[in-house]
Amino acid sequence: MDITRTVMKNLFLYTIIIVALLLIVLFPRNPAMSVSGKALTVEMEYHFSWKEYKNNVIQYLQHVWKEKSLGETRHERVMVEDEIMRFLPNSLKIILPAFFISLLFGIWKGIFDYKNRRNKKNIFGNGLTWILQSIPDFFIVICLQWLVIFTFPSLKLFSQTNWYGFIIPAILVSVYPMMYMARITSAALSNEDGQYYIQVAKAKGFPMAIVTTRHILRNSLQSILPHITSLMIHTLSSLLIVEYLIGYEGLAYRLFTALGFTTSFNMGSFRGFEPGVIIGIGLCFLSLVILAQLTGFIIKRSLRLP
Amino acid sequence: MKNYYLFIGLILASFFAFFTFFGAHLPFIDAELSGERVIFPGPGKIETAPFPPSDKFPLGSDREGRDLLSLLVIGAKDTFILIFMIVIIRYIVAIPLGLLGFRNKGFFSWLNKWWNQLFSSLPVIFTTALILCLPFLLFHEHRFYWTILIIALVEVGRVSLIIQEQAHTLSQKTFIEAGITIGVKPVKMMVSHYFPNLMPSIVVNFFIDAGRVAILIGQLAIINVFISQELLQVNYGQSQILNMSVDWGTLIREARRDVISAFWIPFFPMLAIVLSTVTFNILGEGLRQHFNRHTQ
Repeated sequence: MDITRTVMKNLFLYTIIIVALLLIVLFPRNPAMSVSGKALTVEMEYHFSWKEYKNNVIQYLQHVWKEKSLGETRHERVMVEDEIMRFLPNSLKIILPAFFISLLFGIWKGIFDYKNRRNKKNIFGNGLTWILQSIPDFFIVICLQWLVIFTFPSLKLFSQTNWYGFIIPAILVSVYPMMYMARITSAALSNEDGQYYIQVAKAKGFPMAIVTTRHILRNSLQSILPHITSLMIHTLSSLLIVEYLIGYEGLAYRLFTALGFTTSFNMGSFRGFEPGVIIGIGLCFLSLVILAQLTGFIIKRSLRLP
Repeated sequence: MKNYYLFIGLILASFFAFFTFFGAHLPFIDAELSGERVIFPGPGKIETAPFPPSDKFPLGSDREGRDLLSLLVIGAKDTFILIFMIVIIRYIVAIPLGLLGFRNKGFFSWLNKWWNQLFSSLPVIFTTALILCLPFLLFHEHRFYWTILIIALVEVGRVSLIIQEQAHTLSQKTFIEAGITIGVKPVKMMVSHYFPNLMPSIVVNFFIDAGRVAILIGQLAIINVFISQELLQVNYGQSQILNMSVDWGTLIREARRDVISAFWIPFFPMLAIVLSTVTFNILGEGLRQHFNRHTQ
């Protein structure tokens, strides 16, 4: 019964998120552009009308219903699905390794931090976690790019043409989420301090390493696993920055193209905003988050946690 | 055990505070931010901005020929005002919401949970970028304030949920029951029983949040979403969005291009963002240890 309830609740939640996404993306975004004066000064005016908003939403839904497609892109005869099929595999190559690296190594690092919280190795434990969590991903990316370009120009680490082109971005993406996981884990482990079962296990003569992994970690997984969706969210936000800065052709990169972030305006034309693509990519992100939630559920089930 | 975290955090914070408040009056800082794009160092020699780090420009100059060190010091004020306004607004909204939901059921608790779930299912930067690109916000005359409000509100749910959970745990303690038994009024209960006990963790989280906001502002600047902007005409029938403020985010906006030609332009502002994030985090950890000093 409990599972059905959770599933229903989550389904409801994701429906609401999708509706919110649609409402934000389909908000009428065309300001009236006009030019005036000798210098043809561009003037923008924006009048919001409910009618246009309603039209946008209805037209989009009708299109989805009729064509069974999420919409058109800026390229002719290329539908959103085609674009996603092209860019999604590139991104998955980064996201999935990064996600599992940060999950496993994050928990490992958390255990390390917890074990060494009172001795000199703490500098590499909590200290390193602190420092790495305070350094934004863009700083690491920019520094690494500069180093690679000017010191080892022959290394084509960021090129997507090599088969190993995804390794460096995956590692870059996983840094922040890994440290997030490490902090969650070490905090959860410290919360178990002083419980009787730990003393019993120690009294029976188990070494501390086994007590930590078999007993304490198992019990604290209960409070670690709910954070697995946040882990995916952190992975995705790092992905946005890393792909944009490196110029890696993945979902996030396509997203910025779809948002049409240009800073210059010509008269007559406004940004090439592609609602369909944004909705499609938003749905991809959402399904990755659901996937993370499922992973958490599977881990919980397979370890027979209460 | 001495509280090294708090010590280092306070030193770093006072360093930043000094430059923020007195930076403009220091002798080596050019408060006017004047710059020349082309300079003629000697006969027949021409140099164009950006100038690399040298004696005249300790950290180099930007593409307008303005001294980067002066820009950083003058921009510190704008950056910190931005960060603190966002975090303060967020906490002003989140603290009452969290306290009101302390029973873990009822309207406010429900509101906090949904607010958190709704905005934490997609990356914050994705949501904020989408909302900040809405056309009526794009050239709104108060865009600056709207942006601050939006960034603050997006993460209110997360903060208020944390406060709510802590308040709920607190509500089952005996001293709360004692308060109820002797007939303390609900408002008084909140102010003098709940709030003082929640204060330490709120202060700690406040600084950690400030660090997160600093990173978020940097990320938004990287993808060219600006907090304050203006439309500037550059040609016949062509205009360009220009960011008029001098905060650190503005300086790193062209990081993708600058990394090859002028690495110092994005590097030093990013370093400043990193340092302030480290400061906020260390202060948070130091304060946590300070507040927990009796229990350890």
